[in-house]
Amino acid sequence: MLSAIEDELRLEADALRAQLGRERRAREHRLNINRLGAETSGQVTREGVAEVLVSGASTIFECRWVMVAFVNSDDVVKIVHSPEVPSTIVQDWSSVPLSTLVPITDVLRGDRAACELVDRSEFFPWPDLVANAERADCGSLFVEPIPGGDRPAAVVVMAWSDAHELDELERELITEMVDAVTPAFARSMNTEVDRELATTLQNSLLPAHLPEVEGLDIATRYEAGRTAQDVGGDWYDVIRLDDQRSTIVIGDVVGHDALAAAEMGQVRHVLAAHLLATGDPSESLRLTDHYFHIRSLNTMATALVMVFDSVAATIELASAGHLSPIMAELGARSVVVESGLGPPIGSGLGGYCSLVQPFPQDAVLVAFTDGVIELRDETIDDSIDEFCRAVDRAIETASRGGQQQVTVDVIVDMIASRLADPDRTDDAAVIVCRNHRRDD
Amino acid sequence: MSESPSRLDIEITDGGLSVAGEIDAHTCDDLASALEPLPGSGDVRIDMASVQFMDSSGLRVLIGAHQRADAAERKLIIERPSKSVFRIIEISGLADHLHIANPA
Repeated sequence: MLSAIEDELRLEADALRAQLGRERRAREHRLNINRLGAETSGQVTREGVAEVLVSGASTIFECRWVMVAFVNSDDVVKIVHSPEVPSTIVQDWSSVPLSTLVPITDVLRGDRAACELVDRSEFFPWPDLVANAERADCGSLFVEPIPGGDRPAAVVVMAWSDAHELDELERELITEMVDAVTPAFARSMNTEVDRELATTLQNSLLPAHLPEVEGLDIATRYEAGRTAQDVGGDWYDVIRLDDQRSTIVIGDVVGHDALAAAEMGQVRHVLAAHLLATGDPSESLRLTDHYFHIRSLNTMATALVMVFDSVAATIELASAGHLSPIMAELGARSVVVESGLGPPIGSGLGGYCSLVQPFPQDAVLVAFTDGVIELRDETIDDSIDEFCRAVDRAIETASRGGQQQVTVDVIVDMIASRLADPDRTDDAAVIVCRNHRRDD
Repeated sequence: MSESPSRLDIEITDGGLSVAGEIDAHTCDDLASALEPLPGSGDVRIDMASVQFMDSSGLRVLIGAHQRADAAERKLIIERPSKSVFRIIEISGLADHLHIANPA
């Protein structure tokens, strides 16, 4: 009799303990979900948001693996996954079109609200899933959409090795998790659309081909910033004036977005038109500044205009608030070439002037935007000096490798590798010219 | 991956504004609204002694305010710019155009 009561009490205590354990775990999971909301809000791409979500969901759910899938602009599914997803399955997903018939794509297309397949017997409508369930170590599969516009912004996918039915707590946690990350997906999608538009505009407004210029080798480079927002505004241009003279331009419109890219196209062409008409760098800057000051409320750009005279071997430089170029020669330290300096285009302040400097044969002139050198923690002069030394090192390495002269490719390659730095934020443009008159 | 947005503190003073922090694409709109319309009725003084960083988006705001002050026959005076701010103004060809007082 007594022992029966004891047993009953013990059972009750066990049940209470289990209940307490569940509640404690639920609290922990909710903390994790809150954290997930905060962490995803700092991400600017869907991939970034998806990575945070995968790692969060793996912590919260005791499932075999987690995937997050979303659709790229070309209607190909992109997945982000936990390390537990078998590598062969990851390979299968390397280029899956959205039209594929599996639960993940069905939900991504919006054809199904969600998928809850508690054991393999429910896989039969999808032959691909049946065929690959063993390799995927997948005994049950849950696909939950993250709301977007016309169709889901992404789906979160969880698989268990065995049959598994979601309990009430798991259902609640999934709903809360989806709610926590929905705003971040929406925001990052908008950012990606903006960036794509800015990139398309920027690329279409940079010169597709540069004219051949008598006496000059020319190489150029444009790189968007690594963070999602930093596209657009930098440009370069080459305009042939006559058989003897040509103009090299580099510039930077203030701002980083589709608007900056569009304004860049305007400034580039207005300046080029004035250069063609006058052949005079400071006068062209004056006319362009005046034009944008009276025509536009907000356009502002810096620009460096350089007129190369292939017979005199000189370069005439006028700057509208733009960084001066540097000159590099084999066996000499690179130096900043002083330009005639005036205020940025669009300021309406006027006051431009130019300086004529020697541009000897075999010398290389490097004109650039501040994205090539800008580092917030250093003074601008230190950054320019550091850039000169990097140019020197690239030339030294090339000459040790047997190169007899400084080629424009050596400099552009070096700059391109600097621009590969993942922490770089600003967009960057560079135009490198070598005077090869007479010897080649 | 994510860039922490920089901060700018703007304080209204008797003669104009006192600003501290970083002026860049994230913060320049705050400075623009503090200068639109121009505060007070005489010359506008902006104390920039505590601005550690300014980029071209900040310069655009200063030039715009300078031009509006000029049109109203007033002056926008940049007070005590830090070394790095003064250098940006100089490199941008603006040292002879903007009114600058007591650079560091």
